[in-house]
Amino acid sequence: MNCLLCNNTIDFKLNIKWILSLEKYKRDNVCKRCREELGKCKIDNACEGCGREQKKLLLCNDCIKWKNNNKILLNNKSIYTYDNLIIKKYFERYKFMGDYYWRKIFNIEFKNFITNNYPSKDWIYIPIPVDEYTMQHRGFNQVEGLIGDLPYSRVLKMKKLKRDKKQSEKSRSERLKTQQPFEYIGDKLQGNYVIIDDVYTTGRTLYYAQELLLKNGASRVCSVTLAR
Amino acid sequence: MDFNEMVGRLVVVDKSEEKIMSSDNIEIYQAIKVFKNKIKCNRCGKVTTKERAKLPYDNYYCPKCIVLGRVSTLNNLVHVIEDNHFNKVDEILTWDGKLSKFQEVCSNELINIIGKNTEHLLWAVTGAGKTEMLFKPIAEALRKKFRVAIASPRVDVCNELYPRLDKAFKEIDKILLHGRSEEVYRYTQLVVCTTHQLLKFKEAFDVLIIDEVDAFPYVNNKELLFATKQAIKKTGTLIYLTATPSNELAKKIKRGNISISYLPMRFHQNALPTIKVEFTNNWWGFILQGKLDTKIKKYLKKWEQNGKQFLVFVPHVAMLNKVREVIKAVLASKIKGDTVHAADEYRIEKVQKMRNKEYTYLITTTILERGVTFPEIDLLVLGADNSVFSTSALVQIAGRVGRSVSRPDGDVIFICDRYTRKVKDAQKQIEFLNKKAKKLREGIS
Repeated sequence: MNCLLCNNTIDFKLNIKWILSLEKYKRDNVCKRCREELGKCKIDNACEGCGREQKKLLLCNDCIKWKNNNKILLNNKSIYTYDNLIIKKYFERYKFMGDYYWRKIFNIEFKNFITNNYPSKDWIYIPIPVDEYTMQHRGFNQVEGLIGDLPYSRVLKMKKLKRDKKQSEKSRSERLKTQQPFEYIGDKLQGNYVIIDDVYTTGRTLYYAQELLLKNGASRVCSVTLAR
Repeated sequence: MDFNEMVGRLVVVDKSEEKIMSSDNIEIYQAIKVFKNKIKCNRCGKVTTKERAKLPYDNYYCPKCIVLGRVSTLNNLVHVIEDNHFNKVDEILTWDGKLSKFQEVCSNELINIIGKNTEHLLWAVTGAGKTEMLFKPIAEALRKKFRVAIASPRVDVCNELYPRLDKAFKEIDKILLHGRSEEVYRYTQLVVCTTHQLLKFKEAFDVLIIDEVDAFPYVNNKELLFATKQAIKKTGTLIYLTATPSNELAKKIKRGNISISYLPMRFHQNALPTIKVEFTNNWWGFILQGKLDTKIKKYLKKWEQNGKQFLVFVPHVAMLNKVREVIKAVLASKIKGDTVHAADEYRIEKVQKMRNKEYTYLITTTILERGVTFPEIDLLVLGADNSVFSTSALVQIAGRVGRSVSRPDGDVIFICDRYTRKVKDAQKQIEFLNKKAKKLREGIS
């Protein structure tokens, strides 16, 4: 099999240690070199509010603004920075070209990241939904694809809005001005919830989702995204 | 959707979006055929496992041709039947160059098959002037209101072809299509594109010309065959161009399934430079120790004295820097050169510097094997016995030498540790062509 990202063949060298360990051979769909490249894009120190990569651990200016707007911060956690070629290329292929199989590149890692930060015994997971148009054209919800077999609940739905621009085509100020895009379709909530999205850009979408969940009885709402 | 612009195309349409009905000029196809464990794409013809092709809710997509825009069970393929509605122009051929006697013969043979439902091969040696021989046959096709496409597996070849065709057919509307071109598709009588782009057409072309048919990445590839069959009309004329026919084509010729025009002679009518093989004992081992085999050194010194430019080919990108260090140490310090490979950011700039004679040499991989002309060079292939060099690649490489009238010969040196079949075949092919050329010259004079 070839590496999904660079298309070079993935070689696996047999060694005595592995043979004697009797472990099952875990085949990666990305080569070692690309995994290393991805490793360089991981976020180490981040803002406590939104998971943005930064040197100090205090809140970033954007999160201070959210706080001043009377929001309870999402304590968002992300694995990768969005601002690099390899992750951008990834989303281009997975989300925009629609290569659904590429979900598998991050399935295990993303699932572990979510459950390590927010263990499933204390938290319920809620992926951000996609609208009907996207479902008909892309054929999948990219967030549900990324989390693989992690159990989740569907309590949010995209409102049927007149379609203007895609979220990713909007500028920052346009995104911040968007209206509540979700409606709540579940029963009364109780307990802690983690909203899961693919990318955290301005936080606007995630805070709208949080608003609805809090309104419907959630006691705490945090978030996780693959990239920030 | 403007179907008028989509004539001859295979358009991917969402099932949910538009209700399109079959009619006299529109055919609708299923996009993906689903089997028990596999799926087959009706655009690119490739089979994929369900595991790889899966979408939620029992839908499937084709990952093989996804770069052309995804095709899935959520789509239909719509084919708008070609009707050849083109604007008339006053002057079709705006080229006033002259062909040699030999070129003229081949060109006329091509004119004669335009409009016939047949396959034809133009086998012309490297530097024979293939493109010029095409001008009159293409003009003939355009005059007959035919739609014509010239496709090549290599983007570089398309990019080089397009401006030449643009000059030769100034008034004809044409378009250049490949993965990296920005141009939005529109309906034109003349199309220059990569062979991959042919998958977006269906029964569109009356004349389809495939240039450098043996080039990577389509050697021995069914994909080319599928794309060609897809894009050409059932009544169409298919013309292959090559300097180095693959075994498959050679078999076709032998079986008589394909007619052929030969031009074993270069436009300047001199013989092809022959390959000289020099045997070494582990030349790469020497390089790793920072040394150069004396035989290699001998040629470099000779070329240094002659003051001519030269190319050095190596089998792998990873070898480039090491080879460069050792060569640099042997040559006088005023002699400048560099390495270049496919993914090199400055690839175009470096080749340009060689053209401008700012560089005396380039050390490279097979990317410079075809499509580039440096007029008066010599060349060295290190490790010509390495399996990455196919016979056709070796013949193409040898064909970089002696391309100008001012210096129709030059050294072609293959450095080998072993004498391989492929090297032997390359030598034989060149000898064969030179014999043919000799006969041709004697026959005419």
